[in-house]
Amino acid sequence: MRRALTAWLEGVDLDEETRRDAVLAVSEAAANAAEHAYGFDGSGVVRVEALVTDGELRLSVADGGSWREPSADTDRGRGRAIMDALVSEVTIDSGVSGTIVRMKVPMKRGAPV
Amino acid sequence: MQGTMLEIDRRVEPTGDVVEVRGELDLTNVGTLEEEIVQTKARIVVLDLGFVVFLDSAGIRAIDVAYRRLRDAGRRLLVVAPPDSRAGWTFRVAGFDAGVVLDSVEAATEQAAD
Repeated sequence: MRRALTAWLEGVDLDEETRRDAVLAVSEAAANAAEHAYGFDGSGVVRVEALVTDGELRLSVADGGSWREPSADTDRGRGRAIMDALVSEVTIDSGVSGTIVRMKVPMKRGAPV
Repeated sequence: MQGTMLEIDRRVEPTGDVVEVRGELDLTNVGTLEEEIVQTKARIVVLDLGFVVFLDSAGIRAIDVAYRRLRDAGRRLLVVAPPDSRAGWTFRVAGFDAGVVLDSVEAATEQAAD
């Protein structure tokens, strides 16, 4: 998943730092989905979307399960701390059909043409 | 899922064992690293992450577990991640204090001598 995301991001006019931040933030969100989301839902699909708009990189990670807020001293807690450090906004929408984590990564150098 | 590329080399130095890691560390292979660290024999083990190109919270967790397992056996794990390396960056982003992770194998060697 990281390779596909990295390859996509390399086609976007972003600086290397922003790409690196985005890949790690998405990895942490996807790892959370893998660990907590698929209790009874066997499909195990995590959908990652990335969009550049208005000078920011918007990412979403969607799964079919429910988000469980981890305690800070677990590795998932560290994962959440990493996400919070990397992105300017994290919103988590957890509903009947699943959870979507939306993140905005500030682009370090100007908006693409 | 495509395998994640990881290379782990061990060497023996006068101050202890050095475990040098290259490639990507994530959920798929952190168990391998943990075992490589624990299976060393020296009292002091230096984990050199300078050539790691990807590290996430799963990797940090595995290193933490290895650290505790060594400590419980009366041994010591020194973690090296240069400030300009990917691993060093990940530790900083994850909120680790400078001083927990060492800047170089030389610095670890000095600390091992204390």
